[in-house]
Amino acid sequence: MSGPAASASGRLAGRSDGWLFAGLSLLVLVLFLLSLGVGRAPIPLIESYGHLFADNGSVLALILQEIRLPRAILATMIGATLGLAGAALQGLLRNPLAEPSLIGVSGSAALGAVVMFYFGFAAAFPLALPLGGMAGALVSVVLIHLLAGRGSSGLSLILAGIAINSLAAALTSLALSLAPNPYAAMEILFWLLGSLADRSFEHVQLAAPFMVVGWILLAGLGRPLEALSLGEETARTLGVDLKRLRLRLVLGVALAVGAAVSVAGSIGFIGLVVPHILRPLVGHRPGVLLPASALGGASLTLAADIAVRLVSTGPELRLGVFTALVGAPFFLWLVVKVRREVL
Amino acid sequence: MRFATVILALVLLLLLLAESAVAKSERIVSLNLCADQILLELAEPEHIAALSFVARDPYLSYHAAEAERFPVVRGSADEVLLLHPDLVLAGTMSTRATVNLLRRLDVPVLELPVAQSLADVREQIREVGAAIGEAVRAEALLAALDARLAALAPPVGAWRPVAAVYQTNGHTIGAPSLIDDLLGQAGLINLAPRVGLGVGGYLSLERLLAADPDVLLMERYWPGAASLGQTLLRHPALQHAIAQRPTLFVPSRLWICGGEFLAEAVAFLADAARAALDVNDGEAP
Repeated sequence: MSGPAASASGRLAGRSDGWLFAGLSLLVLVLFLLSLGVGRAPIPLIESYGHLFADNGSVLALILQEIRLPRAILATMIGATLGLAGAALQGLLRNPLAEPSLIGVSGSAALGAVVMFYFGFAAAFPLALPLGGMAGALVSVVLIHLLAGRGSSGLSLILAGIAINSLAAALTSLALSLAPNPYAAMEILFWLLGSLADRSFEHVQLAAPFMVVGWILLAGLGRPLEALSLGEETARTLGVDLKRLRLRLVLGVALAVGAAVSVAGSIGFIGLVVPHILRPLVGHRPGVLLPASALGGASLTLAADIAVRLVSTGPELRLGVFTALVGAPFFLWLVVKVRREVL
Repeated sequence: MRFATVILALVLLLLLLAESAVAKSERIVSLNLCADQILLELAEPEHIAALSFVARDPYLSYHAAEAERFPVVRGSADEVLLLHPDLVLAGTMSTRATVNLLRRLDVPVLELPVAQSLADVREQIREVGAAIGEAVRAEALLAALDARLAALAPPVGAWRPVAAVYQTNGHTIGAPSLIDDLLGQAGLINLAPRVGLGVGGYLSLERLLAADPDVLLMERYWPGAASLGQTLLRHPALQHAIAQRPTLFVPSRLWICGGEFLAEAVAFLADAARAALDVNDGEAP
């Protein structure tokens, strides 16, 4: 592409990208503030922000600062991680069905975290928890890549994902039933369906650094993924080091998703839904899709976490239940659409 | 006075006569923690063929030390049948398949529903006593329990303190339940029904803090094992809630089942009520 037409379209895209990012950032901000205002304690929305900065040690200040703030921060960061990881995996595997929870990355991360947690390693050495999550995620991303990488069909990717998911879920149950803990059978729900209820800054501290490192690894991959979308040969002629691209992407996804799952359990479908909604808006350019998916993922997760608190009157609904209720029908629709396009 | 003694002696004599007519169960198997407790208080040791495996859990079973002397079963039909029981005690909530199978094989089964009050506990002790041929011991046990409860003077203040039950993982107990009844006996008001949690459920930290109870009753079950519930105990907001009011760790074994030890539970809870009243000098906060 060259000449005035290309530069004009580039300028146009640049301007609309600006609007898109501004809009998404505003959405994240609004949802973040709303998330701080929602909870079981009846505090008027506007009043609650005052308590956020109050230094008086009152109960309401405590609720805002130690319960709602870490929750909103985790929802934002974990959502961004899942959106970004979904977009990156879809770019690498050139498959619209790739998503951390569908292909077993989240499930394997949960397994790693469960082993570290219930057998006491995390109690002795807190960092063992995110490290276990990341190790589990890494194993599954490498496995998926070996089983269904290199432009193989959507079917083989999903089948490999089912296999890895079932194995991870079975091993998680096994680990929990062998663990010396009377609550393991109840707590398995947390790991399989995810939740942000009653998390604290301890969890933010454990997971945030790894998520940020993962984001940094993934952030620069827009351009090489763009080249890869034209095919491996073309990417190579454009000077993309495919080995390096894969290594960086696999590590980035493993770090970010592994850390996220180790503090909030496995939350599904965010990484599937978000890139698909945004792709038509950014015109199939991974360089724009990656950051946009991060913002979109943060918005969707914040919204879902607000929703679970608003709809549940009894025990709080698990976040993963809600995202699956929204995500699974979307996934079905996507399967039908992909099939139509392929056949 | 003498007349009353004579009457009592006569009643006891009649009960003894009635009892000798009824054959005592000699191979009793229990599949339920609360049935274990009642058996250990009523039955002759040589008549207990097996207890449930939970009976040995020192956190849940008041008579855990005594339970060590008896064989335990996990609750599957085959292991129960191999013991050739002449009576099986089971709860109504678990081991359903086993109970159905035992019934089909004509093994006598007595099912005990979850006791939801002290009155339920009394009824169950009588029921088990009658079933195993120890009705006299059952009456004596109830008399001892009543005497101990009567000797306790629950604190009387101008108001009744509100107690929040906060178990591992944030579960709480509502009403009707044995624990709710015990709280009432000890002069406390249970928080859960007040905040709209009917039979119990999950008390989020936010709700606990906002409700601002006068006393916090927690359980410490298997504190050595890593669990999400143990992690939750470290939450700064919960630590703050604990620091702000009298907080007592109730041994679970005291209040989840019925037995003479319930007097100990009520005494423990009355101490909690007294602590809450002391903090506020008996004035409503």
